[in-house]
Amino acid sequence: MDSESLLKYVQEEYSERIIGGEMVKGVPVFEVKPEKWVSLCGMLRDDSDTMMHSVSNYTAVDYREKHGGFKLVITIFSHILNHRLTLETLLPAKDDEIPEIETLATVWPTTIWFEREHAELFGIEFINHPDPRHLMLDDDWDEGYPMRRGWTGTDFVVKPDK
Amino acid sequence: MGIISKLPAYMETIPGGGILTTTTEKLLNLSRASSLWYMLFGLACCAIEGLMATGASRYDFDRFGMIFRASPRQSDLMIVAGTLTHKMGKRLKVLYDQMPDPKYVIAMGGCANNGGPFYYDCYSVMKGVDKIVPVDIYIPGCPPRPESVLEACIQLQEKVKKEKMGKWSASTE
Amino acid sequence: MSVKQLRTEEMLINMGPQHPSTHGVCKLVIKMDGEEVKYIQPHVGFLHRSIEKIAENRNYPQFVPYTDRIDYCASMNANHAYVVAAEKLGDVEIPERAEYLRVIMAELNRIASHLVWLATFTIDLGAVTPFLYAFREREDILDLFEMTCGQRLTYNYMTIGGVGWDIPKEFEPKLRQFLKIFPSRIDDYEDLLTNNPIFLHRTKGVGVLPKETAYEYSVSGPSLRGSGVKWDIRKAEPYSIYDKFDFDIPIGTEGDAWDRYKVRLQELRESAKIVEQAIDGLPGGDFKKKVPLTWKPPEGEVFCRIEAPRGEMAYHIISDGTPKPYRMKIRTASFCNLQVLPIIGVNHMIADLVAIFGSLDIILPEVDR
Repeated sequence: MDSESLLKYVQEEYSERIIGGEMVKGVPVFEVKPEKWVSLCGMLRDDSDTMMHSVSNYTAVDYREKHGGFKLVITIFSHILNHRLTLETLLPAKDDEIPEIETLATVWPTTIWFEREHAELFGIEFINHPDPRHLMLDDDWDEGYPMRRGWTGTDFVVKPDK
Repeated sequence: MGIISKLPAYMETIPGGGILTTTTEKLLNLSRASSLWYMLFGLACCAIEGLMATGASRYDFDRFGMIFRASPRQSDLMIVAGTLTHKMGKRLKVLYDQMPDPKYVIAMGGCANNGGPFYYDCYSVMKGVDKIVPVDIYIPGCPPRPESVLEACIQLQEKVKKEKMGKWSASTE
Repeated sequence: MSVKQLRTEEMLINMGPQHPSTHGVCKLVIKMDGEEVKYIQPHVGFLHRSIEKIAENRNYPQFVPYTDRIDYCASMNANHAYVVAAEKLGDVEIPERAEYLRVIMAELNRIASHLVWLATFTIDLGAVTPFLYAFREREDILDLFEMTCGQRLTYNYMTIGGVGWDIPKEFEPKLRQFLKIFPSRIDDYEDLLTNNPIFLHRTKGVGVLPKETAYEYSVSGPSLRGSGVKWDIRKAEPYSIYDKFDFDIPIGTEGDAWDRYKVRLQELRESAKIVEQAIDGLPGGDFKKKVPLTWKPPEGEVFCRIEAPRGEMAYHIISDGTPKPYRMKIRTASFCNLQVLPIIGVNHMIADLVAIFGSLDIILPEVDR
């Protein structure tokens, strides 16, 4: 399916699960309701017209200042039909709050590590995650969530002189 | 092979030439310097240059009497090749402690020297190996060329040759 | 005492983080039943260098050297992934000569990277000779890189807007000479390994990766193609000028370690073919378009992926209109490929686990970043 028809198809089929969809640099991008996040992903995987059985990328972005929360962005694609799309969802959070969302591990097992990384670096809690340990940081790390914007860090983070 | 096959022929013609006098210290140091076995401690980019490319046929590490060992208990030298993170730092200390005396450390590349390109704005990289283990030779470069690794080994051999005998025996007591 | 009375129990083994066959610093916690592996748990992060955090504090052109260090075996491809994404974000048109030079360098680096893989994989299996052979050819490629950009491993060659330096005069004859002898050198490797009974015993039927598992875990690159999936981003979503070249996508049938080996060896030939076509068609003209250090792309985001030697490498860059990225996520192939190891590595001997790990071509800085 080409990008245009994919955009139209998802907008029509799954209209009650998404907030909006648009074309960004030739790729359909959809804003998803956080409570429908996992169910929509599962449907897109099982739908024989989309067959999104692989994950290309899974990102968390700190948008606390701009949109008042964290955004999860996942790019999924199909090897067989050769198309891809991006899903976004906003998890509201202020200051030091830890937002929560259901894990995607039940849909694509490859997201387990991505979520472990987001959990420790951004401070997002994934409910029912099968393996909620640290991935990149040491087990005894207690300096906060380093990838959050404005994280000043510990004494071993050196800032260049201006 | 040349010196071993030809030396006796020359020396035996000299009266008393079969006997070589030297100090025990020199003999020990010479034998130690010419068989520095290094531990494979490849962490990042430098491992490809410093350990693999240098060990392969073009640069041929073996001619310095340097053979890699996979175990710290059999090695005299640790070439720390690459970026050391805080998470790996603890493991490095354990491995260093497992090496038998006398032991030497070469910090290879900018990251092992002081953090290199990961010095600023970085929350996980240790700013130099010398924060946790004593370093004998620093090699600059990112990554250093194999030639500079060879030069570092020659320098280390010079250092070993000048060592006093009591140094290491005292430290074990 | 009869055999039944013997008490047996599972043994827990820590492999790594400092282990010669883990190709970097990766720790595998393995539960063993005798010699058989029953459970594997990889621990990574020993080389986590917070590159994504650094990216938020660097200007766009300043970040290119860091991309080298994400995948040091294939720095050119890592450069390529970043500059293609950044140019798409800022709509930068680059000269045609630069595109050709990028393809030449990227494909040469793919060859060099596969040669490093061949060397380490065979050494893991206990064959030392192919290591020396593979490094001999790799040195030829490194000479070409060195005469172009003065470095042997981390090149910082591609910049936003083109390439850093033009190729010198002596580059082309040396490259043509290399391309002339290289196919016969691949034949040498094949003579040594492909039908070698020891090699076949160590790799045939070992670490079978079914197609469905590969999809679920988003495995990419030669490891995916070894399972019989004809998927190559150079063909599926052509970037740069890959649609101008004629090459095949080799695929395997069984998905075992031998198939992955075979696919990579075929890719060496295909890459050499692309380099040959690119050097024949190399146009003249500019090789670089000036992009200032404080280059500001417009506000927005871009996701762009390329086919690196290990699989899909992608950059997700979010710009807020300032000279520094708001967020940069780097998706690397090894991060996903390593996740299948606990699935395909179980119920094998521990020596085979080393073969499986090697055949997946994992490189740890890519996992940890």
